[in-house]
Amino acid sequence: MSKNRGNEYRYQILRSEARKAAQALAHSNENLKARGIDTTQIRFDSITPVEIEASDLWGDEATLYPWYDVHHWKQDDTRGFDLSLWFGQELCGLCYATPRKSKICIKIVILEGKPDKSHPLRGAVAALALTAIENYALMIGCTEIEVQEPAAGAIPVYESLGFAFDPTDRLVISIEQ
Amino acid sequence: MQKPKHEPKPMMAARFQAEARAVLANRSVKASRFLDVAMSKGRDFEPVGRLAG
Repeated sequence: MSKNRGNEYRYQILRSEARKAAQALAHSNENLKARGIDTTQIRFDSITPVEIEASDLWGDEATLYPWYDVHHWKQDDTRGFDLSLWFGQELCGLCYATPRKSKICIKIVILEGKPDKSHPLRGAVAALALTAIENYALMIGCTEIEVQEPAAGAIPVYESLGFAFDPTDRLVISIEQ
Repeated sequence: MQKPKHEPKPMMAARFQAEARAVLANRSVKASRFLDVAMSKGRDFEPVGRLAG
């Protein structure tokens, strides 16, 4: 295997391990269970044509995000992090984050929850995604997470989760071990 | 000139997994900080649909 292919493989494994660890944490989280969520149904996965097809079923209320493009982004972005959040057979969230050329900061490029008020992970999509992103960021040595273009209605959510605007108006949080 | 050593893919996978797990093994209770905040709020905590991008 060439050095470049080996590098791609390394990031593939790190992504997988970051998702697995976040899933294990979600499965054992007492606060999720206390809300009545069957945590064993929560699954963290990558974004493949299966997830794209499932997001097509989200209907007209879904934002016209370029989820189809994520497949191409992944090919050009060795360190990019793609994530899908499932509850059983129901796709509840999609996210793409990347450090691009930075060694310090991983940026959430797009994050979308299922546009349905009653899906089982409603209220937890950002938190679940951030748990996996933070795992991955630790593995690749980043020290902060940035939400690149937060939805206006979601800014209070990020602030509650600990994010703050820095002097250059970037919505960021430090990564904690 | 020495030929570079070839590492079989399963061994490489095991090495990368060990690297990842070693990083996460040192995580504190802060690993659940986002979930703990979100769960202390209601289901309406986050807007429906788009959250970033």
